Amino acid sequence: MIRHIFKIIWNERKTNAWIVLEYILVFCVLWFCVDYLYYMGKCYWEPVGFDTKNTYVLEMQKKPDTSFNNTEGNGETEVVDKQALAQTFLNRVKNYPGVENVCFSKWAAPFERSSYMSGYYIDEDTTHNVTFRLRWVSENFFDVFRINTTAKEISGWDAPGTNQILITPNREGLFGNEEYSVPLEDVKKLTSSTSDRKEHTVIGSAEKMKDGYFNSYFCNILLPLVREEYDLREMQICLRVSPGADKDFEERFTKEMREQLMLGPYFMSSLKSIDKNARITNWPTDDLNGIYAITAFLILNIFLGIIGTFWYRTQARRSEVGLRLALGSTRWGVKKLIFGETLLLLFIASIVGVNICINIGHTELLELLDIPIANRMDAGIGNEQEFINYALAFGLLAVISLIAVWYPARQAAKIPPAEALRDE
Amino acid sequence: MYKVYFKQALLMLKQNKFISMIAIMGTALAIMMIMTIIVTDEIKEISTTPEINRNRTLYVDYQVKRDTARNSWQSGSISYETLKEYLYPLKTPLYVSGVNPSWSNIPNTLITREGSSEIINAHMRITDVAYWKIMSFSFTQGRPFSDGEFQSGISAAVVSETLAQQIFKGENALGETFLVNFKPYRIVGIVEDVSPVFKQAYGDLWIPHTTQPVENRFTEVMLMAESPEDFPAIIEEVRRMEKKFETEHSPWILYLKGPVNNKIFQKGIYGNNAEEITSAIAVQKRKMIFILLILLLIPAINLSGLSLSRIKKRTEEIGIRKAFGAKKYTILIQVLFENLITSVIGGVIGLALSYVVVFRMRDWLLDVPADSTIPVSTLISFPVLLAVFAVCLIINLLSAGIPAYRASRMKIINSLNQNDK
Repeated sequence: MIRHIFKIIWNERKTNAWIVLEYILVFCVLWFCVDYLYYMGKCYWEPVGFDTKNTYVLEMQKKPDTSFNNTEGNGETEVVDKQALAQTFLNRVKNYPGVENVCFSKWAAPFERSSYMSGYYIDEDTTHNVTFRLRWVSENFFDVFRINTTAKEISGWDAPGTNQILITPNREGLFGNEEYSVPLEDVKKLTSSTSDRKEHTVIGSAEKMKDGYFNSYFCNILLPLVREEYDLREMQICLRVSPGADKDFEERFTKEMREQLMLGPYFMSSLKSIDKNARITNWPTDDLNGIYAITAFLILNIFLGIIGTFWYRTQARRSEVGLRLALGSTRWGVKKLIFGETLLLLFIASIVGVNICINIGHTELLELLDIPIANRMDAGIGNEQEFINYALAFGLLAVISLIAVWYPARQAAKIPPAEALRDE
Repeated sequence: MYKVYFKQALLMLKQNKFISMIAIMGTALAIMMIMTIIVTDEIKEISTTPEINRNRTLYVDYQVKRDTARNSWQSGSISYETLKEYLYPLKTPLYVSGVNPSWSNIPNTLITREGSSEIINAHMRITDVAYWKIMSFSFTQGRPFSDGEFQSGISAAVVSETLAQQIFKGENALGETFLVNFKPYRIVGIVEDVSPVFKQAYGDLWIPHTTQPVENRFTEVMLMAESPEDFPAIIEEVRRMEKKFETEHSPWILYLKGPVNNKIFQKGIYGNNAEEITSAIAVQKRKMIFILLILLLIPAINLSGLSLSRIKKRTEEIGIRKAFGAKKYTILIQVLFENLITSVIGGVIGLALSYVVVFRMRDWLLDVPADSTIPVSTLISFPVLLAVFAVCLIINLLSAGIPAYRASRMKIINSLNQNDK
């Protein structure tokens, strides 16, 4: 059967060359689309390290002119008791129905753009200066984002002079960077490599964390945010809401709390759902839409190409099909022949395509073209990816081609043998 | 002559409706994709009210300050200090203006009327006097804030018609006072609403830099030249200003991105020094060419296969024509012309579809809110129509070139015998 189809393909090699060429091009482009989508999907479903369901981020701002208005009278700026205001803020927000907990942090809230990095020495080893991502958080941070730690006691970890910290591992469960890392459990002490050489005691660890869905897992240091640092405008303020209360929470809260949260020079400027916001700010909309558009375009093209070519072909081969039918071939047999021809063409093209794609994938060509590519190292993706790409790209094209060829095949099978033979 | 071709081509299309439709759809699809890209670019680049001077404006939206002694650096939007010390003094540009980036403060400014508890969220632009010279707003009432008001930090504001309506509900808003983030401002001018398509002009209200605290004053800078020929001189002068910074703030050095023209500015290319920007621009160019190539090549191969089959069916006819003395190029031109008619029909449909796509998917393509309007003046322009025709022609040549060539080269005897080996 297959040899027979090969023969047919060979006889029509001139028109088939166009289809194979088109298949190869489309296969290659689809390959990289699938590659990227698979990578994005894998990253998205991996945990970020924070439970952001039902959490919100609240932004406070300062009235622009309080400081210079007050300079008129006594020539001195009115001192704002930032800590007291923050405490009032906490009490008021916590008392709002539905709010489970509130936390303050700096450079720590998930899906925020800003980050703070600094170099540290691990334990006594001063030969390796390793950079970590620092997050300053209040105690409630762990509760708001449901972060489990191995530390025995978190409350009171910010006691002055104790310098207690928590650490998080990278993807492999190690603590360090690409060049130098140690098992997480072995880390007891960190020394800052900046001029103050401050020493920190590690009291436990938390799950691995990443800054956004599509970022890599970076090792973090969680430090206590001390009360002296409290400033409602500077801090990130996050709240967790009980599951039942999250309907229209933003609107309700903003409306009802506006007055209550006019605290000294501060006022509430916005309240956003962290999840919703992440989908906007942390989503590669352009890349994904581009890929969807290209994929749809390719599929439509392949569809039109196959339907057109095979339509002509079945017309040109009317007498041949007539003869087959006259000699006892079933109508299903004719259809099968045409389906087989399509799939075999696709298969030939896919073998060529795979070779091209794998070779291109190992060069820098794609980077030179700024094509969104999967960062396989970061996502922990190995060679199995290539089989998945092949299966998906081939499967997709096969389905489309079979749908496209269905109409011409039906036309061919409907040819009345007697009429077709008389054509000769 | 061409009339005959035209009639013949239409007959051919009618004769085989199914295949004609497939060929036209294939062409329309390709042209829709390409035109969507071109129309989107056109909207982003065309100089029209209110951003009437895009073609002669350079943009600087990113600065890097590097401490060469300690190898530390800060980067971000242009700070007001940089603007004041190193960009306002520029001599070559006609006007220099800084405005807070459109992505900042979306729409986070709280607007209230004094004594009212109702709060409106608005999109605020913080800017200067030259801004009103570079842009062309249509004032329905009043005027922009003046240089005097800017210099002495007087809280004057220009608002959009919609915002004025929202705050004052039909009363005359001009000259009235309202609160911007709880600070009182007086309305000195009211302008017609601006479409968010115009990233630099869009806003609900506009206030002077000097009325805001320093931490809010970060900007994207526009340098408007007399004509685009002055661009190299302006870039040269900006480089001199960087040198000036270096001598004044050693060991710190300053890098000002670009300045880049509107086309590159709209693409949002990032880089921390001149080389990175140049290479990023080159990458963007290559990417564009690659995408256009894919968009042209695949439909072309597709249609090529179809044309080949179609011509194969007509070899007999071609043979007879040649037997009666038709020249090679006559056959070539006839096939190309016939195909061109398919391409042009596809092109018109494709262009129409591309407008539908741009309109339906404006939030993605143009990065504007889904309910915003797109000014018609940006949609239909001479370059766009020219581009459609050019794309049709290219697709036509790519898809029918080889089949037409082969048809014209066929030996008469072979075509009469229907023998294509």
